[in-house]
Amino acid sequence: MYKLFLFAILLFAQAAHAQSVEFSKDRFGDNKEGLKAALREMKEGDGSYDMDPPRYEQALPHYLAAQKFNPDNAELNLKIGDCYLHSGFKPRALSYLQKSYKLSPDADPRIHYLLGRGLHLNGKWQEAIAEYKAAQPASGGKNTAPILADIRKKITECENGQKMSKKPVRAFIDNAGPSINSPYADYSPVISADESVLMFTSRRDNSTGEQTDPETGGFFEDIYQSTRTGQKWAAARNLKAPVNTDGHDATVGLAPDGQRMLVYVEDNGGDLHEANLRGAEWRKPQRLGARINSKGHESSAAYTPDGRSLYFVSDKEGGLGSRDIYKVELEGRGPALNLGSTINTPYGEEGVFLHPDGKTMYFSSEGHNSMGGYDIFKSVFENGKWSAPENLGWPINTPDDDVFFVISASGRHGYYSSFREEGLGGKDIYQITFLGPEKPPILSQEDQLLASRIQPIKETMLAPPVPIATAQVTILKGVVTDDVTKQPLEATIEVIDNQRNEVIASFLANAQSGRYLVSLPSGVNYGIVVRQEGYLFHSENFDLPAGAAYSEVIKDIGLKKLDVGVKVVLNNIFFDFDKATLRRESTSELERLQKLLTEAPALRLEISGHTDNVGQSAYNKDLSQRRAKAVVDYLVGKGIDKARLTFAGYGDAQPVAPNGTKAGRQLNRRTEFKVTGK
Amino acid sequence: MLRIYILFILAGIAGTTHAQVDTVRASTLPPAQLAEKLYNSGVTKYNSKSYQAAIQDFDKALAARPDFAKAYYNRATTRYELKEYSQAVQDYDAAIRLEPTGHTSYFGRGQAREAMGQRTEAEQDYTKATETKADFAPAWYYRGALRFEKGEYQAAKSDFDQALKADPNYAYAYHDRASAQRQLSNFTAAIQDYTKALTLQPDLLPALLNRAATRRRAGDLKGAIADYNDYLTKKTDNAIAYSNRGSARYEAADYRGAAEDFSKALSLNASYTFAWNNRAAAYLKLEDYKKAVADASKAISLNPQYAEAYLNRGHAREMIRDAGGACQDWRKAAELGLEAASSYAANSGCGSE
Repeated sequence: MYKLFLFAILLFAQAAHAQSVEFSKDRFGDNKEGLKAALREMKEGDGSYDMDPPRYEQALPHYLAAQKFNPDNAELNLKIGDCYLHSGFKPRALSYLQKSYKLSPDADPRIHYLLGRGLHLNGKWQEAIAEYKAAQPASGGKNTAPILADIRKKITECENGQKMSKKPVRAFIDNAGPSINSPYADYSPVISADESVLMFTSRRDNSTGEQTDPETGGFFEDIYQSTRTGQKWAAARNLKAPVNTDGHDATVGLAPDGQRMLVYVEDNGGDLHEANLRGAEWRKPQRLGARINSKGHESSAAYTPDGRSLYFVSDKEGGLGSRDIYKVELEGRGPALNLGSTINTPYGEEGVFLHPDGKTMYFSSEGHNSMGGYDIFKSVFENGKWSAPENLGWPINTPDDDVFFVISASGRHGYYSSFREEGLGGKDIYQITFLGPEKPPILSQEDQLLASRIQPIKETMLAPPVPIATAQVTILKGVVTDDVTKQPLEATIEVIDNQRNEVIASFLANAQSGRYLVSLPSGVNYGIVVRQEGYLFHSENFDLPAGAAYSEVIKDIGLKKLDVGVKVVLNNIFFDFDKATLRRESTSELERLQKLLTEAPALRLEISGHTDNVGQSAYNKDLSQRRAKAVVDYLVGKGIDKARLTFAGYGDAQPVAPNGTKAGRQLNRRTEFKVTGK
Repeated sequence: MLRIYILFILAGIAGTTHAQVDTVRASTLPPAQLAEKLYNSGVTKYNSKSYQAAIQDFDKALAARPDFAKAYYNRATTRYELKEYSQAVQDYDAAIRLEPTGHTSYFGRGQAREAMGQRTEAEQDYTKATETKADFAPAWYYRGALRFEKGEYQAAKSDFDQALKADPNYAYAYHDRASAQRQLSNFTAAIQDYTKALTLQPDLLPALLNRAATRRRAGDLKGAIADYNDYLTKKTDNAIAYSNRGSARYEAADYRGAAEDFSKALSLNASYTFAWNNRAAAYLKLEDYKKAVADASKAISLNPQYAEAYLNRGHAREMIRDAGGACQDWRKAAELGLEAASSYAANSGCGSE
């Protein structure tokens, strides 16, 4: 008797647990008001859900309200799951879909596919694959081919995810914090190479015009900026007009020196614009030309570090499928070139970014070995071609869309945005700190290796060192001022390849602050020439061998006016070791000097050679004199009147730094000129 | 001509080879041999460990007969026991002067010199002993040990070869030849020799530990752990053994088991620096970074020059978001000679933290 009773209870409990509860008077007769309200919510939700295309985000709050009244309706739970799958917080879909299936496995034919999505987006790879397989329609039916192709792709994504999540990338992913993020959507971060400036797009409530978008309901996009001091970001401020308008204004790219910005504007199907910073003010963004903007959707772009070319994303016709990445020379006339099938896939590519090393590209793609949606990939341009894109891996990439990723010149920090449960609301900006491969700990052990000895012998069990790839670029930055008044100057910074005697990039220092920043990828002997009308040029040399690791050099430059007695060091004049033979790499500097003398016919110079204090004084003096003479001979050979030039060798008699250090001695070994008449 | 029977008293080859004294059979002696009687009395006293009394007898024997080489030799040996090494060397000198072909005198002097830290001279004496008597195994063995300690593993191995040629049952020589093979990365040969040493002398437990370490190096982690287990069932008070098994478990990715072993080692010897450091490494793998920092700090407090502990603490500090502390530790580890540490520092944004 007792046993029978227990059995009955169990049977009842099971049935009650696994049955969908209808929104009916039979069931909720005791709460008619509540039922009515819930049905109203359902209807409102359905209104948005059944639109073409469906407005999931609008439907969701209504469905959730109805679900609060009746949590056990299979169909409603499925709809909520479906809405979440189309929202920012996709992983939340799973519990609703699982509940729906439990309540009524046959409520909707889409259930296995939706469960597959829910599991996939929660990184439950194996279970997701099983559901996707269950969702496969019998082949041969009408329109089954695209469905099967989609499911096959999703299964592959799960397999990729499974592989990558077993070997997580070591990184900290931190919310950029309340000075950057708001309770609204904050996304599309772009940074200057040195991470001193962060700009991003936000749909927060103080947007310009304070209007909401009737289509999506949120505030219009505006661009915000924050600057960093130490480890802290200052509170972001709205850029205001003329950059921000009443409509959508979104960041897309920022030049490494933070002086030029790429903006996305929603007209002509989505176009790219460019804004310049003059002093502290951003100028009104200007539409980029027709070689970039088409009738299609141009959504993302990045400058090359020399500022001369642009990589951008477009869905214009003639691509390899969906959205593709193109490259175009800004000053040239040639058409934009599709990067080709190593990078572009039949699926979407988006969010292109070029590292300041000039050769490493980061972009997002739905293709390659994505683990779902867009994943971030990295490819390096070497020997004339792009390397096979490398997935940045789990947990940076997730089964959802991971896109609009930028990275600092040091390679240490990346920025992107995502929906996370721990965020401040909506999409938030996150900072990734890359920790590199695991750093192996070292254990110590000792053994008593000789039977007749009692003293143990120590040995260290050392794991082999792991190679650590670092960015191969030097960031040179500082402030250009008048050497006397210390007023900032909007000087031109030319980057010259000394070997090829060619100007490879040219930048302007900020008019108000005098700040400049240039990225110098390793592998070139660079001459840096800073010039400004009315001042003598200033030259610096950075000889960066291939493979030279990341460094940041701060160099403030004071420009000198042309006056009698003023001295300028010619840092890009090179001699053969221990000889007075000018090296070919000196050509650029020598031509600059020649030009200076030609343009100022009254100018008279003394060219002098200087050495450090290593070796015999008399020998040094003689060598420095021969070297100064070699420069004068060059100039005379180029037609400069001999009478305007004198030369002198001072050996180690006029040091500019103590000879005690290597750096000091290097500064002392120099060629310079002094103005002797004007 | 008297026939003198010499009895070698070899009290175990190991370690006590120097406790070798000669005795002269009294029954064959003519009646008035005072020196010989005193000498024999000394030997008896030596054997009953009355070293001071033995020395007095040898003194008297030498007073009675100043050219009594064996009395010098035995007095030297007795002085060695009393740790009076320099006097022992003097007596061996005298014995060698009187009897230049006595290989045991060279050997004994070698032992005394080794005890005084005069390793080069000791090695010369062992060489002389082997030249005097090529099948005298201990001289080969001890010279091999000295060469081993100089890092001359190939030469050491040759010496152990010779020792084993002279005495095929010489367990220590097998053991130490195994160690030489191990240092020469001949792991298979090393494992064979340790096994042979254990067969000859099952209580030579260090052989188990060393075989374990060798198996680990040869990539046989399972065999290594089995040897450590075997050792630890026989001897449970050795912190080093627990720590070394912990390292093997660590290498087998059994980080929890490793941490337990390091803890056991620390319960046996709370100031065992290696175990603190090693447990920090295990905690790192177990992602228990705070404990890793604490253990590495303890190791550093016990030995402020412990580079590996700084390195490990740097790794742990990085994970608990103490970037500044991590950089400091890596720099210190680099300063103490761990090169990898400076590249960790450079690649982890140290300097801008």
